[in-house]
Parts: sequence; C-alpha cells; structure tokens
Amino acid sequence: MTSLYLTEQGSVVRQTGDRLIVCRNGEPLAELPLLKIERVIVFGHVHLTTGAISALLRHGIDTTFLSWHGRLKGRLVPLESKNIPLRLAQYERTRDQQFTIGLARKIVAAKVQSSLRVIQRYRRNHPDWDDQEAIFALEQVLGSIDRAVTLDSLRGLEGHAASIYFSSYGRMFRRSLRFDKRSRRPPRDPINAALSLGYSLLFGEAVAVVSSIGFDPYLGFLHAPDYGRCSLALDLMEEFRAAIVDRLVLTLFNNEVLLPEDFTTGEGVWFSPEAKKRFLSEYEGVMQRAFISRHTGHRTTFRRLLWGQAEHLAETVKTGSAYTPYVAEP
Amino acid sequence: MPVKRVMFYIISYDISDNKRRAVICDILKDFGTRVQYSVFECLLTEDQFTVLFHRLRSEIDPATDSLRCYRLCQGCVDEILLAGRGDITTEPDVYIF
Repeated sequence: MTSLYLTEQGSVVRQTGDRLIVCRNGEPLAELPLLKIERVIVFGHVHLTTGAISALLRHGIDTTFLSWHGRLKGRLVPLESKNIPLRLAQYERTRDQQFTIGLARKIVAAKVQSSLRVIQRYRRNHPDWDDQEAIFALEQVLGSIDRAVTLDSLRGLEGHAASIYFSSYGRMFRRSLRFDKRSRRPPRDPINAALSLGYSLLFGEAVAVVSSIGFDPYLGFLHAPDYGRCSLALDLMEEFRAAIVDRLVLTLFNNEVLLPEDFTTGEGVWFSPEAKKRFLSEYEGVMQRAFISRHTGHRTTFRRLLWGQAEHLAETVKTGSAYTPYVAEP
Repeated sequence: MPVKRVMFYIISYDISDNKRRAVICDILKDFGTRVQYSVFECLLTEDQFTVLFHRLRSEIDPATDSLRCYRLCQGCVDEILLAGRGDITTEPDVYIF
C-alpha cells in the first residue's frame, strides 16, 4: 500500500468523493483515491481542508504532521476503540523494575549488536577498511550490559556505545564528507541532517504503530518518561535505527545519490526541497523492499517487521513472555 | 498488517444519459485510473471490487446502459499490448508532492 508525502509548501489538499486532490497555485497536481493510500506524511505548510481531514479520519488513514525540517508535530487520530487492557498491563509493567530492566537490557543489547553488524558488513565489503578498535570496544560494552543493574547505568552504556559507533560510522563515508559525531537541533553537516530526517520518519512510524496497537506511546521502558516524549516509540525504534536509517544514509552518500551540494547551510544544515523528495523516495524504497529476514525466517519488509515487533512487545507486556528484539541483518 | 492480493480490472461503460454517465465516471475515479474516455483500469482487492460493482450496478439503467468488468490474471497483465498514448496502470509505492 502507498504512502503519500506532502512536501510542496503552500499546496492545498482537498477532497471530492473518495479522492484527495493536491493543488498548487490553484492548479490540481493529482487526484488520488483514498482507497489506495495507507499513510500520509505532511511536511510544514501544507493546507488540508476540513473535508480532506475528515476523509482521512473516515478512511482510517494514518496521518502524521512534521515540521518542514522533519520534527514530529502530531498525528491525526480517529476515535477508535482503544486497547485498554494492554494499556493497563503496560502501566503495571513499567512499575515492575525487574521486568523493565530486563526489557531495557535486551533493547540496548540489540542496538549495540546492530551497530556492530553495520561496522562488520562495511568491513566485509571494503577489505581495505578496518576498525578493530571500535569492534572490540563495542563487544566489551555488549559484555557488560548484563551487569548493569539500574536503568541509568544502562543508558550510560548505550550512550558510550553510540559514541564509539558513530565515530567509526563517520569513517565509512568518502573523504569529502565530514562527520565526527551526532549533532541535532540543528544538524551541523549533511550526514547529520540526513540521519535526523531518517530518524524522524522512523519515529513517526513507530509512534503510529504503538498507538494503533493500543499502547500508550508516552510510557516506555528504556527511555525515561518525559513531558511530551513518546518514550515507547523511541524504545521500539532503537531496534531499527541502524538497520534502516544508518545503512540508508551511508548508501545514499557513498553512491552519490545525495551530494554535499544538496544541502544549504545557515543556522544548521538542511536539505534542499528537491533532495528531500529524493530522500523520501529512497526511504520508502527501504521500508517496502521485501527481503528474507533472519528474524522471522521468511520474506518480509521493514514496515511489517516494525508492526511485528510492536505486536510481539504487546504480547510480552500482557503475558510476561520473553521478548526477542530485532537485530540488523549481518 | 495483512497483505491482500490486488487484481487488475478493466471496466468499460456505455451509458445513454449524460447525468448518469457523470455519476458512474465519478464513482470509478474513486477506485481507479481513467485510461480512455469510457474505460477505467482499477487495481483492487476482491472486496473492494465487490463494493465498486454494487455501487455501479445500482446507478445504471439496465434497460439502456451497459457496463463490463474484466478481471485479468497477472500473466494476462504482462501480455497487454499498447499502441499510442497512455501506460498500463500500476500500483504506485509512493506519491511525493
């Protein structure tokens, strides 16, 4: 099923019958049957008429609003019956320290392992490149996860692993591109800008998935509750960051689908409108591409895996059964 | 997230009354792509097609109008030949505007 991205600033989306009409300067650009659309992602100043909004709600189309730069602003949520038993179980589990730390450990371990696999795959494809040091350091972190007894120490380990990983990750890009560490709000270089946008898109999907299953997206296990932060969506996203976004960004720059010239520098570094469209279409390609996953053992897509993991998490929360996080394919 | 199989339908109509023709055309636009003046190509699941067909059937005048729906299997879709304007309707993965 199809995703609709609306990026054209100042465009108007209206509805007639069971179709959306996208207009720019009063000229219709396209007519799209609502039947064909599964999700809509709106960037910045795009005007949706009330008719269009109610049509989206009526069709149960998941609609996410992002700022032009990609920060999640909110979602359109239809009044549907919510899974109250799951929420109650979720609230109870977050008070259960044993359960919380157990789950958080698994998420962090999966994240570190995924980082390792990104490095190892790159090393396999580029025999002249090596980063033994980072691999060794990450393996050490992996070994100490089981000994972390508090969430704070676990988050510390995660941060430590992330900084090792990103310094190694930065060296995988061609020389004209500089990337030393993650910077956000604003991103300081094109790689950070691309990572930020990718993570935002993934985050938007994670929020949508956990919410529609019936979870309270604000209450997580690894991520501390914070005012207005969708911690559970962040938890779910950890399993997929490296596999989806980090690998996509690396490929796009190294294959010169994205170039440094595609970005404008001001207070931060931002995509040009045209390059953003290219990025969105590549991101969709990754989310929809079918592959045989080691995790499920059969053909799937990242979008289905994200759903599968959220359902798996719901099962764990309800029954206390073991949780197996997704780890990036080697 | 269940995945439903989508089939390729060709729907053509011959309708005597202008107003009724406009109604039929409007319904079809909700479901597919207009490829010729009175021919649509629609990629639909069986359930979606059933809904569409019932809506169309309730609008026509059976005494004077005619409506034809053909369902093609994937093998037949691959064998479609075109001359002149237009493309074979495909299911887009993403729309970006």
